[in-house]
Amino acid sequence: MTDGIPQVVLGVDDASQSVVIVEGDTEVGSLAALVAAAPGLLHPDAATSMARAVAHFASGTDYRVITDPAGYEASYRAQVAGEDPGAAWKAGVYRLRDHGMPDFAGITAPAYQGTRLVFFAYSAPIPLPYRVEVDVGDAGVTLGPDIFRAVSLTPFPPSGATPSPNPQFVGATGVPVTPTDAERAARKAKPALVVEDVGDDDAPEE
Amino acid sequence: MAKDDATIGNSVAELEEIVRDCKKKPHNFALLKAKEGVVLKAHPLKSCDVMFRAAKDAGGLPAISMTGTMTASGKTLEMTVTTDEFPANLPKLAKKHFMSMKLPLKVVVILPNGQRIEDSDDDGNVEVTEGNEVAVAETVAEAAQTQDDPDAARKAALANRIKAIVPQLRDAAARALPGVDKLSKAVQTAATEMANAGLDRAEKLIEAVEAGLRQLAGGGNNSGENEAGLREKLVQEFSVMGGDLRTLLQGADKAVTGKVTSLIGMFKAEIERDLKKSGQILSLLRNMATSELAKAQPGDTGVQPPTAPPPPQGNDNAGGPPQGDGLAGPEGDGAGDGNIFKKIKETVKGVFGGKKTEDTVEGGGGIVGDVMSLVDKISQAVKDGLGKAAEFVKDNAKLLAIAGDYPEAALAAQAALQDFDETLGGDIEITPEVLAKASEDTGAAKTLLSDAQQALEDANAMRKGGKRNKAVKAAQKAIADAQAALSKAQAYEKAAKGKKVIEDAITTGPLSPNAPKKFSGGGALEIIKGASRDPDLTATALESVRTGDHHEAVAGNLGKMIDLKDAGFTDGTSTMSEEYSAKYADQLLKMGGSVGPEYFDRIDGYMATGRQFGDDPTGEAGSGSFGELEQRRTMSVGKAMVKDDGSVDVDSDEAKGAIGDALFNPDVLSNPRPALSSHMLKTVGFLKDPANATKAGDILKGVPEPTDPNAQSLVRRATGKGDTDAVDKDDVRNSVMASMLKPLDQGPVGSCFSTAPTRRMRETDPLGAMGAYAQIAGTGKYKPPFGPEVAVVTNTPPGDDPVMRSWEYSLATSTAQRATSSTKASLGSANNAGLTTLSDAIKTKNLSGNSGLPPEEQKKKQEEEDKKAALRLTKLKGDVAAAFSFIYDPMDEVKDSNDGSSDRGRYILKLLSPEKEIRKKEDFIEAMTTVALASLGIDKDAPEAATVKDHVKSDAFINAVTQVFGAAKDDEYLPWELGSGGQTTEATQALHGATLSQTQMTAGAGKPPPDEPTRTKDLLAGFMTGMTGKTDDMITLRTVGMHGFNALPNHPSLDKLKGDTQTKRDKAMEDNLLKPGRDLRDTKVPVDKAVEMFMKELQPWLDGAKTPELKKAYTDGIAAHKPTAPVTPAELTAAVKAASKDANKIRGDKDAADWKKGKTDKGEVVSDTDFDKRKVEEAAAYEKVLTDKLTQRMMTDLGAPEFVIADTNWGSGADHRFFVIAPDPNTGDPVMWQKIVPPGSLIKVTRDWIDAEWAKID
Repeated sequence: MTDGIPQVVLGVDDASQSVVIVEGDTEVGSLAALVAAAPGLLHPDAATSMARAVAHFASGTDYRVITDPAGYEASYRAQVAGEDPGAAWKAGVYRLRDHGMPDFAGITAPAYQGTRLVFFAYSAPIPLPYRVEVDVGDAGVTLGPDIFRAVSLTPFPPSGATPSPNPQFVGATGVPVTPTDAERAARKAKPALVVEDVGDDDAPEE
Repeated sequence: MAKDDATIGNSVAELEEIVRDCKKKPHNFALLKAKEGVVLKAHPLKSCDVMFRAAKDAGGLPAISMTGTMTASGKTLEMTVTTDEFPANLPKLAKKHFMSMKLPLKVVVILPNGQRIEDSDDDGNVEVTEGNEVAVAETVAEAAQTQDDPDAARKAALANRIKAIVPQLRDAAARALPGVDKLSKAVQTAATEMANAGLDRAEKLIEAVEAGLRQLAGGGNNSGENEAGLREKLVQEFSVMGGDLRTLLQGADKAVTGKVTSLIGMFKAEIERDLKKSGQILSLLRNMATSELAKAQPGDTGVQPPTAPPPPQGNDNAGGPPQGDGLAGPEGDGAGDGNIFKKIKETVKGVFGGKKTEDTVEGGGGIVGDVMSLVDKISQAVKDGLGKAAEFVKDNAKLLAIAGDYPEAALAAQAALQDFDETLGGDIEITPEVLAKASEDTGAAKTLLSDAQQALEDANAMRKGGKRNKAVKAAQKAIADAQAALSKAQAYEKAAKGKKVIEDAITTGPLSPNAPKKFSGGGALEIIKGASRDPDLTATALESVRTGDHHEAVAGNLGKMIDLKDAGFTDGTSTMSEEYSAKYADQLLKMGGSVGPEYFDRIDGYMATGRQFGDDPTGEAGSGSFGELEQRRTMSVGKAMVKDDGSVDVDSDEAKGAIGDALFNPDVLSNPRPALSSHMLKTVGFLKDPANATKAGDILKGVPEPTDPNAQSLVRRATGKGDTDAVDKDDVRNSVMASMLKPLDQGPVGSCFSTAPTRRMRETDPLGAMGAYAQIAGTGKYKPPFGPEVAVVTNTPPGDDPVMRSWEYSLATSTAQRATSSTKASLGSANNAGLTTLSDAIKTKNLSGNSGLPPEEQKKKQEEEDKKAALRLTKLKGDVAAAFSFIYDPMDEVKDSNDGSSDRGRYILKLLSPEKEIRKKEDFIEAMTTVALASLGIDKDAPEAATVKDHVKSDAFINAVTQVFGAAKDDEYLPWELGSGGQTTEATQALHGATLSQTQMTAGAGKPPPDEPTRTKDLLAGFMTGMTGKTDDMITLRTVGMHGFNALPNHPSLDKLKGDTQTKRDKAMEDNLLKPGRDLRDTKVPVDKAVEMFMKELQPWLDGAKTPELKKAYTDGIAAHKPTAPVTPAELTAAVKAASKDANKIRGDKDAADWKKGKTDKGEVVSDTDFDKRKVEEAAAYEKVLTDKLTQRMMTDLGAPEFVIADTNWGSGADHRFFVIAPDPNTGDPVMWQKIVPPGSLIKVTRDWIDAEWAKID
């Protein structure tokens, strides 16, 4: 059916709104209009084109559709490999290791489940994966940034490193004190010594 | 167990219970004489001191008392007393009293050396020992009254005379005057005679002693000092007779009153001229009073409590208030000020009577009696004329100075100081040497006691028999002796410390007239009372009061802390040692001073549970860092507050116990975290509100089972579980609650741009913060209200709360995504503006030859071409948008061309394919050209590419891009040089509102900046204008390029600076900051206070000086520059600088030499110039440390007005920092400080903070 897939181009109109150009001559500004202008996009083989259009309507270019899961995985793993596993989190530096590793088996190319379109996308400035599931057959569906749901990640072991200390920090940085058993015992009052049977000075020794 | 309720006297039932319990086990007891009979209090665990106070509260008179341990057998009470010196008649009085209650009990007293003293049935057999003569005499006199004894009045008069004699004898003994021993014995004999109805013999003995004392006072020489001493003694004796004389003048017939009046007049006339004659007149007066009062029926006239008659003044009263007969009481009709003194007395009665912590007002003796006497003295001094009043004022200047603010405390202080002087053997100056010696003596006595106790233990362990018995007895005797010695040493040390504490407090400390913090009358009184009971703990309280925010709570709870300490913090089963109790009380008091009233409110309940004897109840032992410790501590509390169904209950026994552990347990106090405790109590208070508790419970009930791996990881670490341990939603709930119980600070790590908004939410919307924690720990995802969802950050620092830190870090990622999006939007607008200018080029390039076509075709072709061009442009804009992204470089520095200031952190445009960072205009033009040609399908080398290339680099295109937000320079948008700034604004928007925006309050100072005071005023003015009308408790701020934090627009300290117009705000600043600053600068610090502050800075350095040379430098400097007259703050600073100059140079030279050696050892060469420079720098650093601390002290002690403008985010479980503006006492100019709470210390901020641009995000 590839031949029958409508040609769509993503664009931005004069009002800076996301639009889609269908077959080179029809400009549409909504999912409903797109489906009406290009019903062929509901064909399973058109899922990737539809996913791009949906992501475009929902958030412009904030999220990019993962059309090549293997490529995404390779890129993700490469970025992780380039990050220092012993580095602490740092303000303004966005590292995949700080968040974790996705289950790549679960990240697939765009596909339809009935009229429900399922696809994955990644964000910027770090390419964390997001999952989107939209019923494109629902004319009333609202597309916005909230359709991108973060994918669960598996954490890397914490680096164990402490971020650069805040120079203004003045709290105790040493090691807390743990009282010894002897110190604890010394807190309590000693019981009074019981002295019994104090008899005469000349009493015989027992 | 015996009751210890503070009721008046003992009920029969209570006494029966005491006897019954004492048959089972020994009890600590206190037996005090009461107005009627005795009061007995006993308890198996609570100390004698506690029993003593309980008995006192129940109406006992402290002056006649005994304490020790008591057992009961049959009808016999065996009281083992702690000292040989007990009132010999008290057991008998007790027996009588018990009998009157139909409890026939025999009282046996066992002395510390084991001697048994059993009462006989002979009522007259009273043992009089040195020190209890007065008590015996008073008891006899009182007993005479209650038994309608015809000799009652005479006995009372004799008792009064003995009372007057005893202090004179002590004074004589202290001066080792010859014959004083004999006189002492004679007084004892007189008291014995009184007890045995030998009144004539008693009177003769008393007369003989009085004569002997006069002789001693004369001393066989006529020195002015001895004459003055004798005059003083005669006046004192005369004063003691005051009550009797007044009674006579009020009740006797005219003939008698005439004689008495005449004799009084004669005495007053002769006292300054002829002492011998005065003594004779006094004797006559005394005899007359005794005989006349004896004629009267007891009860008709009664013998009034002694009040002072007018001290004889000769003619000194000229010009003074009306004199009347000279015997009117303080409320007398002659004095215009009489009502004032009456009011004071009423106040004292109210304070003491209401709290039942001291003697009853009319009971005499103790503090109240002395206080009343002082009131009389003040009143009388005023009545007697200006001369006497002036003398009195001079003698009591320090007390009177505080009397305006704290009349009852002043009076109590007077009484306490008198008591101390009595114990100390006179009005000695309490020097460090005196204190050191007293401490040494106490230490030695403790060692002796400890040795004796060990000896008893050893002896007790010996094989039974005569040798052991002998050894045990010897050890017991040694213990008794050591205990007596220790009691004496401790009493002396306590008096010395108490005197020092009170004198310091009223002279230069928190109770002094100029102290910045004012107490309630009751609070001041509690401090004075505390100093009498436990000067060490009171000293801790005073330091806490000086710097902390809860002075009234500290004062109000000091007595309670001393009570708890004295009781060994007992729970009724276990008791803490005396030494540890003192330490523990000190720790609790300090913590309470930092945390506030609710801390003190919870102490009693906790101590009753016995959890103070539990080890490591919070599971924090072995924590490797304070972060870990705080996590464990809050986890233990959090768990206890969350019920199985997820609901929150802060009042369950389990919760209260855990909260108490985290606040009070001794193990916990080994690592005090006052800021954590404060926050914990604030959170508990918030969740105590049922509405909040319900909402919090809803959040916790709503958390899912943590199936997300990131959530599991965070929860495992939060709960201390292993890497693969199972976690469930209970663990999630506990983790969330633990995070809620910790203050959210930037801490040792973190990021100000996300800490500021998260802290703001935690402080102003606790449930919002709780929702965030629940989301993170429950799902492993976090979506801020106005930002995109992210998989949470799990790479949190070791030991820190992983959930709390994850919130900050995850917000940062979400913020970055959000900011990338908005930055993209801005770029999109700019690019689109530029690309629109390409539309003509796009349209026209394919229309060559069109003009040859027919018009209709031309039109049609033109329309087609326009449409295609429009679509090409739409596609081009889409392609350009997709072609770029951003990276954020937190360290990239951008200069502001307007003022030269710089800012760190910015987004950098990046072409995705081929990857290239766009940092120059040329890069941008090249990237745009590449993308445009690709989008339009034009080969870069094709002829038509030239049009696009030319247009993209044309001014038309570039201007359209850069001027998209306006043509003004400030509005310029340069894609290759994007705006600078941390992400505080974006993070605040993500959490608090997408429409919030950054607005400048005060522009950067520019170059060159104005002088610091001017700039600080400008900054504060801008801040107050920016905060005008704001109702939020926090508003996020930026010192642009430096820090993100939160303003505190509604901090109470700012109320005085507010105004709805600039004029009003300027005036408010002048009236409340600038003028007080100038006044502070110009103030003359009283010399006492100046010396105190001077020494407080220098003494520690002197004490720490290790070489004689350094010690000498400090000693000489102190001697040469110690203030001798009132000084201004700047003069005091100059004095400290001058005093430390030589010592600082010695230290600086040494440090520089060490520095040079270090360099030389590494093979580096240090020039003489650098070496000399280093010496100067090191010395200056020492001077700065000193003067900075002095400045802080002056601000605190002299009461500089402080205006808390912002919360810095900086802090930990130990403390928190604020930005404060307050005048520097040296210059009077406004300065910005960091204030660290606790302990309330101030550090001046560096200049860059005030020179920065200040902006708000709202």
